[in-house]
Parts: sequence; structure tokens; C-alpha cells
Amino acid sequence: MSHIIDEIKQFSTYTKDYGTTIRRKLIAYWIVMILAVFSAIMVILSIAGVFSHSDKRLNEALDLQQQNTMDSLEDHMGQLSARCVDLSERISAELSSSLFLKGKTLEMLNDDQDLIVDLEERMYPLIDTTLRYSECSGVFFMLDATCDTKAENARYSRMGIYLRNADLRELNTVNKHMAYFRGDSEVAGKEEIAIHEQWTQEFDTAMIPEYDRMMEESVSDLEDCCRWAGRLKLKGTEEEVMLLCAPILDASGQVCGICGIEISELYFRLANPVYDSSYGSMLTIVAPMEGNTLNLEHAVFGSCGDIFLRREGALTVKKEKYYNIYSSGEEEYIGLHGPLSGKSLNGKNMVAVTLLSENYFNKVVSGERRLWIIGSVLFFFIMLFIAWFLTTHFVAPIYKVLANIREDRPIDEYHSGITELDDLAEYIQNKAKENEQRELPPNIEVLFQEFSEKVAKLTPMERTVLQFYIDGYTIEEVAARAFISVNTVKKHNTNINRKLEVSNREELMLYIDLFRRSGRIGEITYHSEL
Amino acid sequence: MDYISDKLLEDCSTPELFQFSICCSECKEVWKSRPIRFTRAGVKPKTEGKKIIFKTLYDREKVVARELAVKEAEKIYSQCPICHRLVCDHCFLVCDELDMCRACAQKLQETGEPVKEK
Repeated sequence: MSHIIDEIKQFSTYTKDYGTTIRRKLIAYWIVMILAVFSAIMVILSIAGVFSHSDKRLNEALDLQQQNTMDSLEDHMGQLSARCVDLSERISAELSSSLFLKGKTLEMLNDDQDLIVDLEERMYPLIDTTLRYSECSGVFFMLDATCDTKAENARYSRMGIYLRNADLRELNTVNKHMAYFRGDSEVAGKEEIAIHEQWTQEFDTAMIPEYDRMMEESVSDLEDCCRWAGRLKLKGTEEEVMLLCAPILDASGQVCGICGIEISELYFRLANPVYDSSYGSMLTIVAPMEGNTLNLEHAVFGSCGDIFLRREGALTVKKEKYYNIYSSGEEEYIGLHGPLSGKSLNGKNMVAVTLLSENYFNKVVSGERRLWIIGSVLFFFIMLFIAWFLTTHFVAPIYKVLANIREDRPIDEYHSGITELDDLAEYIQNKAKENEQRELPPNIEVLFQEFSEKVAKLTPMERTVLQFYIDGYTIEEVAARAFISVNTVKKHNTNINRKLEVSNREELMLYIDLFRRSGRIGEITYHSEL
Repeated sequence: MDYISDKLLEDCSTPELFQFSICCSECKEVWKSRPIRFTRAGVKPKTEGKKIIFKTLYDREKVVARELAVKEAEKIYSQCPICHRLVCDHCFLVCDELDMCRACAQKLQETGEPVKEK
């Protein structure tokens, strides 16, 4: 490195000593000016946002996050669907078997507490196993029977078991702490399961929208009938859950109940934390979609981070080049969405959405743009400064050389560093020296004095004729002006030449020129006293 | 400055050549200009038209010859600044203060050399 610096210093010294051409200096100046103009264009383009490929980069980040989310959710929901279907089949089989063995029908379950308890005892292991081995927060089943048909809400009350995770810290482990949310307390006691704070014995069918429709549905493909009930509040709690529901079939293949898996919102939030990207926090949402509208009323939300999003209403989707805009009317969000294989209870497609705040993104983009602009402006001013510096350094030596020439300083004292200029200055000074050598002979002062004295001794008429010559007239012109003959003028010439000791008119004109160039013509000019 | 006017020039021209003379006011010596031959000298015009043409040519060449005669005369004749007479170089004196004719120099008691000795 020091070797390179030394070489640069040597080069700089060499150029200073031997100079560089005007052409090279101008090229350097023009390069700097072009760079300055280029940076001005960069500033304008930066302001216009041409250089910030934020949209494209955001698309890449969103796409990646969305893909990861989709993969994860599809995998999870696929597993849950499989478990749900399996649960339904097992419950259906167990139900048929139990009722057959006892010689009972489903209707006989009504008002038969013992039978209900017995059935729940038989079903409990299935529920328990499913909950333990599924990535979910709860499992349930309910049958179309109630323990008290005469009760006030008997129409909406149904028997069944609802087992929930009591501690979501043990999310995906087998050893889960469970709580009995619905079901006969006797079964809970036998299984040594804690009773949930908001436990009631039977389900309220109002909990599941489309319950009646599900019960009336004819089932050809169990998997196809597996549907997600959108976000709903659990009765008696502030908790919101999403339920994957599958029908339970009796021996004749009719729907006699519903079983399913619960994903609580807390569970979903813990399983889908916010992703902090360079454009802001990215939030995951699973929601039903109809046309270009996302229904937030029935959506579950991952961890929000610093995104503010109301959990009600809808988001209208507008497709852009690199991402979609989701508008709630009050706020706008940027993101991507993709379909999930599951469907909602009312047949709408479920989609997974990755969202981030448009405001935050705009702040990031404007920050980037600001950086570009500041960078370009700085570069522009640096180029201008360099251009000014070069100009000053280009002009200053020219002024210095001109000053030296004017003050007659030796050329060796100062080199401008511009080859042509130094050559020109040297030429001018050499020329001046040559002229000096040709100009005046030695003792010129004595010569001037003697000649002046001789001129003073001419007669007035002779001085008049001499003055005509000083004024530049020819012999003929002098004769015409003086109204005398040419011979008379020649006579005067002879006398003048003799008195001034010059051999001919050329020598006389030489003297006159000498006086003129020395600025002393006044000494021989004739001012008539008349 | 044409101090030798046409009036002072005597026309001594003939149909064949152009010539003019001046008489010195002092010594009365007559000077004649170099004769210049008419370009159509000896040619007799046959028609009236030709006569007019020849006359025009003659007049034109005479004007040129007069100008040349004046230029010649200017070489040897000077005008006295005192009496304004036209005198020859023999009668014009180069004096200290002012060149003048012999008569005026005598009258004003000025000494000088003639431009040309006789």
C-alpha cells in the first residue's frame, strides 16, 4: 500500500516538474463535470424512485415467507384433517359397536344418563389419544342426544366430550395437561382430568355455526365433509377458537353427531409468531375468502407484532404487480395469500395470508429513497467541489504565469504545470530578450541628446519641413502643403541632412523612428511660436 | 494644394501635341512642359461623327496633359507666400524663417539661398 502511495507521490511530483498538457487537464475537468451531471441525474432518478427496487425485494421476502407459511399450514392442517377423519371413523365405529352391544339406538341415549356416561367412558380414550398426538389445543365429539330432553335448552344441548389443553407451554408434547371442558364429570373424575373453570356438562350447538346443516348433510366422502368453523368464541369464556369439524356417522351412514379438533387463537398465535423482515413485521392469517374479500370475522391471526389489524369486518384484495393490497377501508396492508386445502363450514375456501403494514413499508422505502437521494446529492456536491478545485487549479497557474511575464520575472522561477503555457511563456520571454538586444545601441542617451541639440539648431523653415517628415508626409506632399516646389523641399532636405549629420532621408527617418519608439518624439517636435 | 492654377498655365498646344508654359513672375523666363502627342495626331476624320469623337478625345487627352504639366511645374515653381507670385527655382530663396521670392527677400531684407543657381 505504501509502495502504491509512493508511486502516486512520484507521479504527482513528475507532473508538477514537467507539467501536463492543457488537453489532459481539460479531459480531467470534463470527466469531473460529466460525473457531476451524472450524479445530478442520479438525484432526479432517486427522487423518482427508479433505483429503489423495494417492491421487488419485498415481493421476494413476502413470497418466501408466504411459501413457508403455506407449507407449514398445509402440513399441519393436513395432519389435523387426517386425525379428524380418523377420529370420526373411530368414534362412528365405537358408537355403532357400543349401541349394538347394548341393543340400543342413538335416540335411547336421550335422558339415559348412565348410557351417556358409559358411552363417554368408551369414547374418552379416543379423544384423549387424539389430543395427545395432534398438534392442537382441544378435541371434542358431540352426539345428537341430551341427558335431559325436558330441560329449557334441550333443543340446543348435546352430550359429548370436549377435552382441552390446559397448558399451551406443552404444545406439541404427548404429556399434555388437559382440562375437561364438556362432558360428564364422573368420567373426568375416573380419568383424573381437571375440570375446566368454564365446564358445563353438555355442548351448546349454537357454538358451531351450520350445525343443523351439518347434521342434515348426506356424507359420501368423510374427508370432503371435514370443514373448518371459522373463529368463534367458546361459551362462557373469552377464548376464541377455530374448529375442524367432521361428521360422526351411525350404522346406517347418517350423521348423528360431530367430532373435531380445536385450534385456539392463542395456540395459533404461538404456532405462527410474527416474522420480522426488513420491511416490517409480517403477520399470518388464516381466513375464509369469497371472491376478492377476506372475512376477518372468522379468521384466526398469528402473532401481530407491531401491526394493528382489527379482527372484524373484511379486507378487500387488490392485486398489484409485486404484491396485493388488502384494504379495510381505514388501513391498507401489503401481502400475499394462497389457498389452503381446507374449506369452511359454509363452503368458502380457506386461505393463508401473509400481511405487513403498508405505512411501515412506505417508511422503509422512503428511508431507502432518502438514502439514495442523500448519497446522490453528496456525490453531486463532491463532484462540484472537485470541479471547482480543478478549475481554480487550472486557472491559477495561468494567472501566475501572466503576472510573471508582466513583471518580467525569469521563467525558471515558476512552472505553471501546463506544458503549452510554460512553452509560451518561455517563448515570449526569449523574444523580449531578443528585442532588447536589437533595440537600442549603447550610449543611446548621448545619441538622443546630441541629435536633439542639432535639431534645435535648424532654421524655423527647416524645422517646419522636418515636422512634415515627423508627421509622415512624403516630399511631394510637403511641397504641396507648403506651396513650394519639390526642388525647394529637396534643398531643405540637403541642409537638414548636413546639419543633422545624416547621410540620407532613410537615416533621418530611422532617427525619427528611434525617438518615437523611445517615447521622446516630443524632444524634436516643432511647436511654432508664431 | 494646387497653387499652380489653370490660369497661370499658358496653353501652347497644337492639334498634334499638347504643351503648356509658365512664365516666372520674377525673371520672366518661360518654361514649357514636355510635349505630349495626341494619340490621333495626323489622322483626318472623314465623317462628322468621327470629328466629334476626335474632338472629345482631344479634349480628354488635353486635360490629362494639363495635369501632367502642372505636376512638372510644381517641381520647379514655388509660390511666394508674401507676394503670392509664382517664381522659378532660380528666383525663390530658401531663408531661415520663411522661403520667399528674391524681390520680397530684398524688400524685407531677408537673406537666403536660391533653390537653384542660374
